[in-house]
Amino acid sequence: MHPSPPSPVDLTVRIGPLTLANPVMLASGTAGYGPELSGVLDLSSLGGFVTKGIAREPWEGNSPPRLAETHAGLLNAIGLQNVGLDRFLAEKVPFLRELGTRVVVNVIGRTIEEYVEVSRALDSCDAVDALELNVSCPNIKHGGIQFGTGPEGASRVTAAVRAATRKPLWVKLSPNVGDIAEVARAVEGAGADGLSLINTLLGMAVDLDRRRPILANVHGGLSGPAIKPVALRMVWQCFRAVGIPIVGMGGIWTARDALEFMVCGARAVQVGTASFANPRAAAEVLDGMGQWCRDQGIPRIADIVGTLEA
Amino acid sequence: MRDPLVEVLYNRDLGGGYFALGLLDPVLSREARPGQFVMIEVASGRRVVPEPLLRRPFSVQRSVETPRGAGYQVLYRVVGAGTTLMSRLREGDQVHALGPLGRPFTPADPGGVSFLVGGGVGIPPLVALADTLDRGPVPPRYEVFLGVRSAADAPCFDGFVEARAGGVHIRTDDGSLGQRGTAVQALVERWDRDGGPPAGARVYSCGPMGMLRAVARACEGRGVPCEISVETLMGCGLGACMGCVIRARDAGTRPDLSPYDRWLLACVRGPVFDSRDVDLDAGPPHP
Repeated sequence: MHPSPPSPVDLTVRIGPLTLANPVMLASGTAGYGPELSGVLDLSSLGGFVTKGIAREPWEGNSPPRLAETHAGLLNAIGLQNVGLDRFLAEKVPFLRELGTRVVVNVIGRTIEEYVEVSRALDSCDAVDALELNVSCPNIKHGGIQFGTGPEGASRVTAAVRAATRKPLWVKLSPNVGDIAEVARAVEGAGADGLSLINTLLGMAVDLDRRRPILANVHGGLSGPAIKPVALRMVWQCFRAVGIPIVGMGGIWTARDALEFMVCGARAVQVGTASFANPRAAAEVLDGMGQWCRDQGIPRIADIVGTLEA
Repeated sequence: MRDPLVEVLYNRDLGGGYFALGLLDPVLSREARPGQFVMIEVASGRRVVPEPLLRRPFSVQRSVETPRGAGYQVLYRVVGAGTTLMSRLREGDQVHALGPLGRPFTPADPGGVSFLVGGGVGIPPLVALADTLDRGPVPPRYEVFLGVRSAADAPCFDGFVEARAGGVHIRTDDGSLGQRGTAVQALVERWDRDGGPPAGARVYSCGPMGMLRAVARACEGRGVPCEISVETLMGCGLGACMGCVIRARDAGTRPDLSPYDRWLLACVRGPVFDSRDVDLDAGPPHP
């Protein structure tokens, strides 16, 4: 008698109205507009893809140096260099339409009106499955994080965009706040369908001998394994504070990292900085998550969401 | 482009902190064009989270044939945590090496004369270029001008010490090897002596930013096409992280240029650029 093959694990997850084939996405700003990693990674194997932030106009970004490695982390101050809405629709969307996975567009702006205009234009774009409102980039002088540092700003921009789109609307929050749960509740109240947690932590790196900051922008956003404990804490706090689904990110390097986020309340996860070190990281994380479920005898990965006993 | 786990063929200590790393990869050995690079996972397999976190970019110096198969060589100097780890790689170790990446040098015109101008650890991609010229359908016409700080940096000349078609001119800052001076000075003296660059002259250059500025100035003033390979801090090598930018020429004043295109991604738009397309005075102070 042969043992029956292990039954496959159901990896699908739901983020509000959107069903993903599995919980692993690529995080905004770490995978370009899609083609960049597609030579070494099968994007259709993932649950979703989040684009580099898109603004109404093209943005230049910051002067270099834009990157600084730290212990278990990476500081960046790219400054959201992006092609802008028109070129995104003309040049990038055709590729994304054929991607074979959920496409989430990260939306940025300097003013609420800019967020609204981009979101309205994307509302009629069939290739786009959801919007991720970026109110949390620490590297631009105006817009971005200024809306994400408090509940009032975050809810104002969320409500304005909510009125402009029927697409599922996720809001990516900044960890550079006093009470993340308060911001999460405000955004939920303003009509968000989901939360993306977390963006980068504001940080700095120093060239001691030259007594200069390493980044031309002086400070930047810290990502990578160094920030995972902060991200887990915030996912857990928000999970207990709101009813809308949470997408977790921040330093995910392995399948176990991703599973920890799900146990803390994330329905799905995004892999970011790890893709720089290993462009196949997201696929390897996904493989490991399925294997862990099989090993644990868990038939549906969605069942582990928020099961932390605390 | 691929990201295979490849075997270390050798990791030779050339002295002075310089090493030559040979990696077994017949496909890349065949496909890489002069000027292209690889991203090497220097902390492969050592820890779940590597330290340092990011890979390091290295120009392909030359293809190599070994009893174990075809591969390629990169030349590097130990300068930090990443290259220190690399220097500990041993024959038989395995590393991920992503490539070939980036825009290569434009192939030389069969009837033209190529001038290869290299400085320090920027010399290796010019070895790949010279190898390609030597294999061309017509006898190559090229000359090589190389500069380093002192005789201690002689390992940078690896691949150029053997006789080359057009001769190799060596300069050191302190005169401890070859003549005192710089590679660009030697190039300019050569041209001045001949009453100017020859018809069909084309310059290929790689080296420190100061040298690239000088060679670009010398070429642009004489109407000689000049391709330079720039070195910037790279995160991913794939155009995803957008960390490795270099300024487009006249970026702030060209109405035809989208703000997005004012900073060019060195990993995908380069590392080889036409010198007239970039502004080497903008951006960070380069070491």
